[in-house]
Amino acid sequence: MDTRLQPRICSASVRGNSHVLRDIPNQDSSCYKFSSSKGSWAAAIADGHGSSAHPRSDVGSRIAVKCAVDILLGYIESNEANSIGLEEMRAQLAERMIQAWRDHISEYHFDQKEEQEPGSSVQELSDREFILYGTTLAFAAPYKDAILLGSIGDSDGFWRSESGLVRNLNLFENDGDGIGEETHSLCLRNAKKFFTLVALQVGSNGGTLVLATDGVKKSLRNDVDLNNLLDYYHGLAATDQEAVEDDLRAQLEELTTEGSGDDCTAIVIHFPCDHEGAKHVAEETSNKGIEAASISVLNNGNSDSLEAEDQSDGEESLDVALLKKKPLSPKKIPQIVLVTAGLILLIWAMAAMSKRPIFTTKYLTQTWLEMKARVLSKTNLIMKKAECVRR
Amino acid sequence: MPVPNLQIAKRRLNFYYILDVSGSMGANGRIQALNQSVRQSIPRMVEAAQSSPNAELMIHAITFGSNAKWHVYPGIPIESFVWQDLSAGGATSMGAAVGKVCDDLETNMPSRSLPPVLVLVSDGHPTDNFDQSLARLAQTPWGRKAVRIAIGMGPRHEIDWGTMERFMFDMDLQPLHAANSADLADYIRWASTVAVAASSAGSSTGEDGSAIHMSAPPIPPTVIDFGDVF
Repeated sequence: MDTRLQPRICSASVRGNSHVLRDIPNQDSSCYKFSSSKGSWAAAIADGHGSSAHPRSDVGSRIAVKCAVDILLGYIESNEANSIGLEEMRAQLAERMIQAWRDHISEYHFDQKEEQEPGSSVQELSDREFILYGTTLAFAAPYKDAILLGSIGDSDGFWRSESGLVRNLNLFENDGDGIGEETHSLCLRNAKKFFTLVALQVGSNGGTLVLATDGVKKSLRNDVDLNNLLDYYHGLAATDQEAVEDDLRAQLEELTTEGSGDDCTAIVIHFPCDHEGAKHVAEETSNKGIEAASISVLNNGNSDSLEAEDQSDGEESLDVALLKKKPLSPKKIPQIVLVTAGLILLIWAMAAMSKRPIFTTKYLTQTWLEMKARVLSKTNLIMKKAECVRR
Repeated sequence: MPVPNLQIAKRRLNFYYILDVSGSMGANGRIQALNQSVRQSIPRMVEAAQSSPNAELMIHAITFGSNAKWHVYPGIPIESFVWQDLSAGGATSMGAAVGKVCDDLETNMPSRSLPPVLVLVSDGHPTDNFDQSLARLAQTPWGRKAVRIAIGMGPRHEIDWGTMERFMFDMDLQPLHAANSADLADYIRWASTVAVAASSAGSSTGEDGSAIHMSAPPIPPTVIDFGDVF
């Protein structure tokens, strides 16, 4: 595994305010593990459906994250995916996760039944019974030099790059209209069809990946607030990792109380910037626009469903430099003197040609204003160009 | 430590009354019963809103007679909602009213809202192109996902049940029949509170993973007021 993909991971999950009021358990779950032998890792979140048709979705989500993490670690460490493409990986992971989830749900269901009705005959679970445990699932794990991100349902994955750029990797939202309460689910008979898989090239500049259940996004006014939240946790994870978990829990409590009322769960996966590998670390800026990560996506075999732009970090650094004030270097003083002298000579020559007195206050003021206008015009042009590239 | 510049927001739940004020509503005290029923439903809606403190319930009302016009617009929070009485007169421009609701669903609904609730009350047949507006409602994302309840009031044979059923496409409910003012009061109260609860009940998935199906909550038994039949 690429050593640049060794992250710091924190998670928190809080019971929704509306669930507290209705005496419903937290139906979200989260899980992450580091492999002790090969330095690999895997993380997953799941959001059990809240409506009355899914009364055991808290169990469904708990089983989902455990299955996903165990399968991912085994899959990555076995190297069995080395010779296959992303679509085949998507199909394999989907099939294994769905099957493992169904097996564990069946086992749990019959254990419960046996407790309630000892000696009851064991039979296969019907689709209707799986619906009782309905849940979404989103997961992440490293694979070669990329991060694999998979999901079924409306849980979110956000990538916040070191330079402050944010990408929403929620393929459910991109796929549909992203509104309302409906979602795809592990409990569906044709769940495999709705699995998505993304390979995210993180690069050496680092960044923060956040997996979050929809209660988080639905508590925020708009995407600006979402960006503020991601900026904050990216900064905190980079400077004070120990503080992230407690801070995240408190923040999620506030989100559900003042916002959506839904269960809120998030995993913050921070990739520190690799200073040696990075050519430039872009200056922290609020300007968003250039995505430094390249992404390829697979959903139900459609490899062309989304292809993000891969912009070079060098280009971004150049544009930032154009807008940045740099301290004056002593080596440049002779150049400045020469340029100034040249300018004075030029003004004198122009005045001589126009046969006008050159040292009157009126003439000097006029000349100064003309030069200032030209310089401002040129600066505006450069800034507009930089803005265009950033967009 | 609070996240700088973070604005947390409750989820908006838009509720729309779509009410018939055509000439026939002036007969047998129907319009008076409608006014009274809506007014009586307000305290229950306030209770429903209080039991869902993370939803911001906004009330809208549109009427249709010879033309469709907003009676309450833009939406008013239920806590400060006061009902102004309607009067009857004119034709039944139901299609125009649904069209105006579509306008609002398409332009004024934040993407993170809860599914809207639409309650249609009518005693007759639309006199304009209702099906065209209904097709638009079915194509509008929020219209498709709305909780839609239709209440027919008056003698059963005078109500256009086909229109009512088409309005409730994809719902696991049948249109309701209010034969008298007590029925109407019960049904409007039921629709106003149960539909709000259904809208904010949490995520779900249909058998095919593409649709939400509101399970039909039991409709309360009606105490028939024999002296007040429409």
